This record gives sequence, structure tokens and C-alpha cells, in this order.
Amino acid sequence: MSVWRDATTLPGSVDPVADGGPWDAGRGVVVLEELLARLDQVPAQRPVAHQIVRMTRDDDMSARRLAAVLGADAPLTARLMRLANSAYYGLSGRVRTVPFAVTVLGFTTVRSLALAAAAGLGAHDTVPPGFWHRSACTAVAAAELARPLKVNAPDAFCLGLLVGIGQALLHRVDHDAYVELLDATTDRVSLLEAERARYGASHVSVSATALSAWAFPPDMPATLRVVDRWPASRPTENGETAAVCLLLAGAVAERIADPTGPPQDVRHLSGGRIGPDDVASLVRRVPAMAADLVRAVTG
Amino acid sequence: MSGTDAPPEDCREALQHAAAMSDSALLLVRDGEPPSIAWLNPAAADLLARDTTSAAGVPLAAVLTWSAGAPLLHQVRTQRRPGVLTGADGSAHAVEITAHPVPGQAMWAVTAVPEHDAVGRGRAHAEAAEAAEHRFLALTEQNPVPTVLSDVGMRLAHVNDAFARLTGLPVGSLLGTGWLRLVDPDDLDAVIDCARQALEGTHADVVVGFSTVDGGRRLVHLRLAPAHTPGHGPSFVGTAEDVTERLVFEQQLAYQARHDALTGLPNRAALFEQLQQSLARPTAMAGNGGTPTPTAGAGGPDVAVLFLDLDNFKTINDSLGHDAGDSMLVEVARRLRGAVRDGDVVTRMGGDEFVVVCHGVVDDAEAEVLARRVLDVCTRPLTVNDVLVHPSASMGVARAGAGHGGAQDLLRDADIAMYDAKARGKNRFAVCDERSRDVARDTLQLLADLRVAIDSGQVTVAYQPVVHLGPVPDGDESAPRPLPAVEALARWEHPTRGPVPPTEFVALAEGHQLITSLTAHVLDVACAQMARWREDLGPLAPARLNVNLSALQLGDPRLLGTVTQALERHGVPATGLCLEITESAIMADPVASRDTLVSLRRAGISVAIDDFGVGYSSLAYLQHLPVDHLKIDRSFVAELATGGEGVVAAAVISLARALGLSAVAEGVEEPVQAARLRQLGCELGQGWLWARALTGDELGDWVRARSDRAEPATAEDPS
Repeated sequence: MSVWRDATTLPGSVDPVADGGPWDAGRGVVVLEELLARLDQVPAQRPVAHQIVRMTRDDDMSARRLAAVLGADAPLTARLMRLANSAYYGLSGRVRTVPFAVTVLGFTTVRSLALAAAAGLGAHDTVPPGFWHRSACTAVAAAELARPLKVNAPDAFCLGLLVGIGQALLHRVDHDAYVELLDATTDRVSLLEAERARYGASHVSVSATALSAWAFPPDMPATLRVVDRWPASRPTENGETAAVCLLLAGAVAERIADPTGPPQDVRHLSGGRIGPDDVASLVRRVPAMAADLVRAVTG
Repeated sequence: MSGTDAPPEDCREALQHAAAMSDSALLLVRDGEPPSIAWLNPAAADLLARDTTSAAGVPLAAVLTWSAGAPLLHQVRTQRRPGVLTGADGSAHAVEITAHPVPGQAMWAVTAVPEHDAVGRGRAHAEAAEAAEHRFLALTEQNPVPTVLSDVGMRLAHVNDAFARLTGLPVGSLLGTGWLRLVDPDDLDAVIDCARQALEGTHADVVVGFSTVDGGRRLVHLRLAPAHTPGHGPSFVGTAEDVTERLVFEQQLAYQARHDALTGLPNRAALFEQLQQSLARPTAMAGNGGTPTPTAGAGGPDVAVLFLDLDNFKTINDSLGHDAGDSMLVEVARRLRGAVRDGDVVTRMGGDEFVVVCHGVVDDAEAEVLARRVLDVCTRPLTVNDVLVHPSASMGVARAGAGHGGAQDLLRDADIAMYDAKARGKNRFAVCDERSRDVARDTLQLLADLRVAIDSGQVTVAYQPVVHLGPVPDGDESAPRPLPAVEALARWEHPTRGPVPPTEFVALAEGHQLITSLTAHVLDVACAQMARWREDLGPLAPARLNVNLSALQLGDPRLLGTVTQALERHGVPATGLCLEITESAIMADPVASRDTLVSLRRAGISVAIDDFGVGYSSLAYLQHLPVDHLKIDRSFVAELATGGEGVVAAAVISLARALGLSAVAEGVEEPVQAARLRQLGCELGQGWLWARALTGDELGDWVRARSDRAEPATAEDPS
């Protein structure tokens, strides 16, 4: 397999095996390989999470069958139950069975949580500071923006939750360097540039790769790749509205994290469908909803 | 993972065949330096413009290039990405490649689907789904019925304008879980349960309260149906119909069906329901140490029933008017509500009857305390239409016992006790005991026997002659004078009890809708006898047959038909019949009575007022009533035998003469009475002085014997 490196592997990448050298944080491909290797270990480490991801691809899957499998992964089940009982789903404290929790959350969200579990993302100590809050804000904002943009709300929610999963993976694999990198950057654009400079790919691209590797529906990683190309390349009108939704949700999350930062031109980005007032409204409403989700996810 | 399950040996060839037949291009790639094609199916051979033999061993890189990303051939992970297949003829095919590592072997299964197929299929599906959703949303948008569509859990992805109008809120604020804020907190669990059923694949519905933006409250019938989005899991679609007006109307109807409009108390239907529920409760008697009587309370729940009937209520209605009667009922209801304990239920059975259902009554003593209290508040004076009224009531008390199968049984016992209280003089209460129950049981048996007696002819008719008291009108004393009349009197010889007094069985018939049958029977028998007399006795036959009517029959529209049919059946002329009606029966409703009497008179039937003098006849009414005879009550005739002046008898006779009516004296037993009556100018009389009640044949003999005795005037004048 070692020679079957992607022909378009990032510039400057080196085949670690051919090189025979040690871990080289300066060579992005090494880090990506490491990330992917970790994902490869997941089936053995979290077989239930892996199976859940596979099962949720089945159009005929039922909540009851999923729940039966979930029972073997207590931490993942607990996280699902907490999330289903969060205020966000309107059923606070009323979801008492795992099948109903799966029903309430929907398969896409179950799959997203399974992926997060499979990737080893747990509580705060294994993810960058504010990671879950930002992810939850992005997810909630994406779901809120889904309707005016006419995209599927549950998918938008899950993409919002998972768009940063690459960041968490980088944080785990290349912890010290990535912490330095985070400290040194002030906004999304500079962070993505720094990531590309160090790893040859941004964390969004890593997220897309993870989703592909776990066989999420192809349009989901494809959406993340469109997001990754922005602002160098603007999403097209046709078929890339989900990416617009996600970018706007990211803008909302960024505004929540840094109210003093420069505002983004959301009207231009959304083709006039979303204005600054809409964003301001979301900035007011989203944090409370997101906080509940964070509590549910991190336990 | 199911993918590791090995197919049975005998399936391998079938699998190979399936792979060969597949429309998708399939290549098996062997690991090596470089990885090379081990096998390909015909679909792949077509794309590569190679046959399967020449393709074997060709490096994969020679026929396939792919875009950026991780290596295509990964040892443990499936990879998917776009690529280009290059054919031996130089053709290039954009494909979507999926590379699956074959577990346990250094080999991959690579499928290649032409990109336009994959994209086109996906796009076509997406466009079809989008178009369907667009149509669905357009339809719901125009739908006047409020409609909701969920995405996950309780979160709504879509609501239509009608739903927004229902709540008064903009669409945007109702999405997600926004709509749940409007659900009445008490109903939230019901809504969630309804949604849970829909999410689990079952149609469900519930009626719940929704608050509106203007502070109002609407009752909404939420109907949810399951929906399923492949890959996303279950959701629901539903309607939220505003049923406020309908339900409020239904609730009003339901309330009205269970409550008395005048007093607002639960009515008879509600009473039975309440009582059934009370009787179904477990008893607390044992814990309270109560000592049940053998006949009540033993083994039953601690429930007692107070059955209250206002005494003489009809008098209030008749004298002060129905409005006054209604005011009194309302006041009594108010007092009863104030007198009972928490948890006791006051109901109105109908008319002037009230029933109180009391709980936690462990013995008769406790029931009597309650009864006394209730009776006390009911009998306090009250002012109705500026008139001070002293109401009184009779009350029956019954405690639930093992013998009470249901509400009906317990109420029956309370009713029995109430009648017992009435019989003992009213304005008191009585507790249902074995004696009163026996009396009631006996009455029921007698009623059943009476029904049989009427149908089987056990009820017979006796006849008492009515004779002339005055002189012969034309002065021919030698000519035989026909008997002016006979009064038909019903008699019942019970097979085991012997003779039953007419007052007893007539009252029984009146109280249990048998009076019409009884009267029809008597009329038929008497008319038949009258026809026989007319045939047997010729000119000596009684000129007239008197038959008693019950007060209840004055309002019976079938009366005239019953009477005329009996006459026709036996060929008796209408002028040969006189119907006797008591004074009190007529005065109970003079207007209705007059109509009935007029119709009888028009048919040729004469009418007598019976027992005249004991009632309260209005002379103003009397002079307009179409009657022919006044029968002087026997009590006034009796005075004449004891040396009394007979003032009332004289007044009645005088009144009859003044009104052009004939007077008939009843109960004449002594010659002195007959003589005095004759002096007073009374024309007719009846009584034991001449004859007791006789059978038809006996009366025939009596008439013949009377005729055989010479001087009629002497025969009829014992003096």
C-alpha cells in the first residue's frame, strides 16, 4: 500500500515508509496518515460505534435495531440519551428508552455522535478549548438557517457538529504544535492557512476525509470540501447551498465566540437570502440552545 | 460485521456468475509492486476495451487515475473517489471508484461506476425528492387546515400559514421546538406521547390546549402520521385542527345532559353514574368499626342515599304558580348543597325529588344524623312570591349493602323508605328496613297479580241500584217505574288474599299505569251486562249505567274512543251511560277536565260529579262544567241519620236544582235519611237501605222482585 500514495498528495509530502524516517510534524502527509491510521483502529477499539455508522447507511434500518446494537457501548448510549433529553429536542427528561432516543435524534445525528465517539472525542481534555461549544453553536445555527436556505435541517445540524472534527483530530495527534498553532491565529481564515501550511490540509479537509472514510453520504464530505475552498472559491448557486448554510453557521459561531471581530458579509455569501439582522438574531438565541447540547455531549 | 460471513461452498459459482453479469464494472486487484489486475468482469472489460485474459496482470495505474486524497488502495478501509478509466483504445471514462479491501487477502475489489450514472442517478433522485417536497409544501401551504411537518424528534421543519394563524405567531417562531411552548403544560406529556407513537410508526391523535399570542386558549385536535426519510430515520406529519367551538359546544351538551337546567344540580343520569362509581369503591367500614345492620350496609361500600320528596309541592304549584314552585326548588337545591359534607353529591331526580349520595357512612346512626340535618334545612320557612311558605319533605334513607346489585337497587330501597315516611304522616324520614322492604315487595307482587287479574277477568263488576226518591212525575203511581240507574263497582277476589278493597287496587292501578286497562275492562263488562238487562228486563232494565273514571283519565285523549267502542260493541246507547268523576279530579285541572267532559257530552254520555262537597269546587267553574248530576258525598248523608240538620246536603241539593242538575245521595242506609232527603228535594239515592252491590244476575232478580211488589212509591219509600 505504501507506494499507492495519492498522486495529488499535498506538496512537500514525503512517504514516511520510503523515507524510513521518524515522525515529522513538518510534513503534513505524515500527520494525515497518522489520523487515518487512528481511524483505522476504531473498528477494533469502538466496534459498536463503527457498526452504528455502517447500520445508519441502511435505508431500512429501524431505531429498535440500532438501539439493540447501541446497548453494548454504554458511554455512547449515555451520550445519546443525554442529547435526546436536551431542551433542543423539546423532550427534556422524557426520553427513557434507547429506541426512542434514536428516534428523537434521527439517524444522521446518531451517526455523527458515533463518529465522534469512534474518533475518540470525549470530554474537554481531549479537544481544543471551546471545541464543543463552537461545534454546538455551528450545529444549532446551521439547523436554524436550514429552512430559509431550503436545505435539510438534520443534515445541516450534523455537518455543523462535525465540521470541526478534523480540528479535534489534529489536536489529539499533534497536540503541542496544534495548540501553538491555535494560539498564534486569530480568525478562521488565518487558522485554515496555518493548518494548510503545517499539515498540507485544513481541519475542514480532514473532517471531510474522516466523513468519507466512514462512508457518510457522499454529499456531506462534498459539502465540507466546498466549505474548505471558501473564500478562495465561492459556493455555486446550484447544489452547494448546504455549504452556504454551513459557512453562515460558522460565521454565527465565530460572532458568538468573538463579538468584537469583523463582521462577515453574510448577505453576499448567501446571495441576499440572509442579512445581518438574521445573524444578530441567531447570535442572541443560539448560545442558550448550544449550551444545553454541550452539556449533553460532554456529560 | 456481516461482511465477514463466508458464503456456502455451493454459492461461490453463483457469486462469480453474479459478478460477471453485473452492469457495474468490477476489477479484482492483487497487491504487489505494482498492484495489478487479477480479474475483471465483462462490464469492466468493455470500458477498458480489453478482454478478461489480456487484462490480467496489467498494473492498475496503467488503466486508472484518480484525484487527490489518501491512497486509493487502503488495507483496511474502503475508499471512494472520482477517477478516470483509460481504455486500450485510448478512450477515457470518468468514473466514481470504490475500493474495498478483501479481508484476509492482499487484494481489493474495485468498482467503477460511470460518473454521469452516479451523479445523474443521485441528482435525479434528489430532484425528484425535491419536486415532491415542493409539491407537498405547496399543498400544505394552501391548506386551510393547520399542518406541521417534523424533521427530527419533536422539532418541526415546516408549519403552514394556517398553523401560524391558529397561534397568532409567525412561522419562524414555531419551528424547531418553538411550537411546544404553546402547548398547555398539563398537556405536554400527551403531545409527546402522541409524537412518540407517530415516530414509532403508528398513527396517533390527541386533543390538547394551545395558548395563542393574544392570551387566548384553543383546543386543538392533533393528528400525527408517521413519515420516514431514508437514511435520516422517522419523522411525522400532522394536522392541528382547531376544535374549540365544537368541543365547547359538546361539553355544553354533555353538561346539559347531566345537569338539571333549573337548579344546576346533577340530574338523574348523572346520579346513576355517580352512584355506580360510589358503589364500586372499596368499603372503609371495617376500619371505622361500624356495626352494620343485617339488611343494610353489611358487606357493601360506605354509601348512603337520602331520597327526598317535597310534601304537597303540587299545592304550591297550583296555588302560587309554577314560577313559585321553581323558585322553591332552586332554594331547596341551594340549601341541600349547603347542608351536605364535602364529597357528598346532591342531585335532582326530577319534579320535587332530590337524592343525596353520601360517602363514608358506616352505620344507620350516622345516616340518620345526615338525614335529620338535611331535613332540617329543607323545612325552614321561605318566602315565595311574597308568601311565607313552610315547606316539608319526606325522606327515605338507604345504606348500600351486599344485597344491592347496583344503583337501581339502592335507589329503590331509598324510594321505598321515602314512601314509608309519607305513609307515616310526611315531614319525616324513614330508614329502609326489612319491614318497609317487605311492604314494598308485597305491593309489587300485588301489582303483578292485578295485571293478571285484569287480563284474565278476575276483576269483576258489582252493581248498586240508584232509586227514585221523589214522587212519580206524571202521577201514575201504578205504572212500573224503571230503575233510574245502577253504579258499576269493580271488585277483585284475589285467589289467595281474598277480596282486595277497591281503594287499594284502584290506587295501585293509578300508580302503575294500569288504570286505563282497569277502566276499559269495567266498561266492557258493565256494558255487556247492561245489554243483557235491556234484553232480559225490557222496560224494567236500568235506564242508565254509572261507571267511575279515574282523575288520571281526564287527560287521556283515548278516553272517548275507549268509551264509545265499549258502547258500540254491546249495542248500548250513549244516553245509557253516565261517567262519574270525583270533584277533586275535576278541580285539579278544571280547564282540561271541561274539554274532556264536553266531548263526552257531545257523544251523548252524561256526567256526574262524585263525592261532591268534600273538595274545593269553585262555583264559578261549576256552573260552566258540562255535568248532569251531583252525587252528595256519603259523609253529609250520614249526618242525617244522627239527627243532624244536613245543612251541606241541603245546600248541595239546592245548588243542583239551581244549576238544573239532578242530585244523587250516596250511602243511604236508614229510612230516616231517605225521608229527609226526599223532604229536601233530592231526586235520587243509593245505599244499603235499598241494596248492597249485587251481581248482574242478582240485580235482575232484585229489579223483578221490586216490580212484583205493588206500590213502587212504597217500595222506594221505606218510611
